[in-house]
Amino acid sequence: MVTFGSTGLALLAGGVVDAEQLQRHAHDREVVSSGLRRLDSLLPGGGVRRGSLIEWLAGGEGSGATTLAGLVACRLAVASSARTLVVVDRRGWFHPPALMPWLARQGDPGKEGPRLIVARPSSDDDEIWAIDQALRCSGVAAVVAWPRMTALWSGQERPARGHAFQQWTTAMRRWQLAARSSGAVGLFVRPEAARREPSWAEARIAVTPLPSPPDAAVTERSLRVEIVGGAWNGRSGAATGPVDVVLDLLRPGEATARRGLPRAFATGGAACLAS
Amino acid sequence: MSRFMTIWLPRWPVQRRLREHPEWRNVPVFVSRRERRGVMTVASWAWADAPREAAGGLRAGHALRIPAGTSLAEAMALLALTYGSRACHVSQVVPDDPAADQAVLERVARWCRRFSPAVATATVDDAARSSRAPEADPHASPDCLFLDVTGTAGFFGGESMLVRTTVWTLAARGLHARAAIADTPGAAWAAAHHTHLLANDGVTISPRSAGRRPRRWAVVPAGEQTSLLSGLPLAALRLDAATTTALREVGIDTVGGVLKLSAKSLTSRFPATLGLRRAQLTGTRAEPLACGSGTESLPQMSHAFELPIPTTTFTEGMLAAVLERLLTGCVSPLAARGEGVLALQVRLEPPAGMGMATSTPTVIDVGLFRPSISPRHLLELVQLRLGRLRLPRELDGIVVEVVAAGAAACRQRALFADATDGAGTRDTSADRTAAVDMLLDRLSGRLGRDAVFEPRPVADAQPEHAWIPSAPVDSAARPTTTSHRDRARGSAPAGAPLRLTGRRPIWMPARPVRVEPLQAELIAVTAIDPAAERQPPLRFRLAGQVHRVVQFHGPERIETAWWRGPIVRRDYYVVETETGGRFWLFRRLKDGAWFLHGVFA
Repeated sequence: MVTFGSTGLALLAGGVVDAEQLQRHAHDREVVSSGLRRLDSLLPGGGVRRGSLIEWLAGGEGSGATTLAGLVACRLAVASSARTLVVVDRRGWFHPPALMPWLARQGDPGKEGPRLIVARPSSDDDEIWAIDQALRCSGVAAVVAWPRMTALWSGQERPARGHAFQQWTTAMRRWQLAARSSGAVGLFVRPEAARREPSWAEARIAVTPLPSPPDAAVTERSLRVEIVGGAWNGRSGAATGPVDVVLDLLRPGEATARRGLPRAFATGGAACLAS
Repeated sequence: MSRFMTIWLPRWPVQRRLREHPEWRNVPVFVSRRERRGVMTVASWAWADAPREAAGGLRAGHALRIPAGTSLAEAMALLALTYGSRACHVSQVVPDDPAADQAVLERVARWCRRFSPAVATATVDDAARSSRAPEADPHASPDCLFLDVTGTAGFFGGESMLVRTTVWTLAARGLHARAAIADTPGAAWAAAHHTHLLANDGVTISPRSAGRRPRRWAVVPAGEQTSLLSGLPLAALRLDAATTTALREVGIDTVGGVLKLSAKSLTSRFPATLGLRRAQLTGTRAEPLACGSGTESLPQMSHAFELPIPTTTFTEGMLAAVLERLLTGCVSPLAARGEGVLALQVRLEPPAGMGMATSTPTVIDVGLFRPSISPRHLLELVQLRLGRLRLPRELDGIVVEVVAAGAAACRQRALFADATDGAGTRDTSADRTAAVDMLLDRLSGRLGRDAVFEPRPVADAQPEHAWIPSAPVDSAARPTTTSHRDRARGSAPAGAPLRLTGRRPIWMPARPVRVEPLQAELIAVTAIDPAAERQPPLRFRLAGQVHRVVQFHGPERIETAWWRGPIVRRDYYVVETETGGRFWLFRRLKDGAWFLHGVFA
């Protein structure tokens, strides 16, 4: 069920009642910052729109695409009024301790923290259904999944041709409609090779890992992100072309602002170590 | 001749908590009670998955017995002596909650109505005594179910099959139970508590000749309870400590000794309770069951077809219509008293008389995380299960039975939208919480309850055990308990391991992948310089592709888990390849073997 603020009432007062237009309008103005300034600059509206699907195309093994998607999902769960994050983990690879500290750190001390729910379907049909159900739920802020991912190491998808391919394409459309109806955001991590396939995602973001500087901490991660497809491709944000993002995994966000600070300094005869 | 079955759930307070927290099976759990002057005593305790060998090489099962009433400090000292001090650190101590124990026991009693229509958690005499002086009754803490199984055993293939089925179906639901059938509730109680001393046919056997695994069931043949139970100890008579002591002082240690006493000597020398218990055991005094409103009040609706209907002609819509009508009939009386369905069972009955295999009903058990009063939601959950079942060829009837109910959260809906809602949608926080609960019901209904969980952090250094899946529960229902270690630190229960933020991979295989250079499918890690012990390999092959390590962080040494078996000693490295990919490798210090344990995907 969707209602509209003052703008929506103004449209109603004008005598024009177009439910779909109103709904689109309602979601269009709901943009949540990803918590990463440079990533926001890529996205039209300056952030992630609620009710959209985003594909993260991982450039190789250990690329950091899932980490980035998880970081954005945590941010959405914290910033949204719907404070539940659902991870659909078909293969049982997801390691929750990687995400749980981010949810705990970003949550308000006085409020109950966001919920992290993991679903482990055992078949393709169940995976499609579980993602659809989670995206349809108004209490869910974001859904993270690895649809069709077949092997942990290779980061490849199961080949799907003919009917199976059609099944996944149809599923993606269903997910898009489900997300639009509830306002949840679907974050799907797929291999780079999926770029050639058609998609209903609003944005397809290629994530390529960059070698870290020699003095970089283990909790910093350098990534190159670029919008390579999707409905938002032609409506890019402030930045055009790829941007480099340095993730601070310790304090979920971007590390570029702190990069210039000295790691240690001396004051009053006492040595201080910047943490 | 009446026949009664007693189901005993040993250490019920601990069993109840283990059902709510399966992760506690690995640690000692103490249910404590605060006595006068603030002394904490042990009401019940158990360690479900205790190590086989206790400290000093003793067999753990025989090494430690902590009777109820022992002070908590003494119990901890005994635990430390037997299992080491770490067992005390990881132990969970929870306060006693007899009301919650009773409530859950009544839910189990409702579930047991499939074995008999008359199920009670106490007899009338015991219920009256407990209500008068709960603290004076040693058996006030409920841990037994009494069933009147007169005439029902035939449906299960005899009394022996009935008692066996009862024990194993409860075991399948995670409950350890012992059961016995006898002429009187008292005799069944005595037999159920001493099944290890009874053979299956009820013949008393000596404790030494009993097998290593105690028997879980017994059947006392009709009219033979006095002869067969005479060898049991005095505890089989449900006596208080003072009466037991008085009996022992005159050299009576068994039930047989009490049965030999004359009625005159019994009334003049011992408390009246002894005569009552003896009469209840032998059957000279009736002991009716207290089948209160709790077991009778849950609704059950059924629909019987005039003729068996082939399921091929019974469309999904027709089935849904019948189910919705039955569900509405079940929900309405509950909703009227402010309750909702927490668990229900749907039975699709095939026509009888077509052989044993075909006459078995198709049973659909549906559990919810929050009580629901919505027939439509319940129907949806049933349909999710129906779609994955093979229905019987013909249907004779459909039964919908509410197995458990709970207080439903009802509130008035707002007429207008909440203007301050940042999402711009009408639904409030309560709406969204309810939507998530319904989502959990749907997901667990189709994927299975084990396939949907909320991960909880565990203070364990070994990465595989750093979290546990726990059943999603309402946040308000989460109990606040503290472990000994947490209390010692003065901190909250183990929270998210913040110090490890960013240092754990987001993908981790269920088991570390061993280096097997000959198997192309696995990762071949080649240490270029084996002498460099504190360095990760310079190159490794992953899925046929060779990666060159240009940077690494570590080692992070983890030495732990000595109490789980062989000690875990590993040096972990976060390695970064020339393309920027990150992996989590470790070297097993025991033999220097390399493993891949995660991907920073």
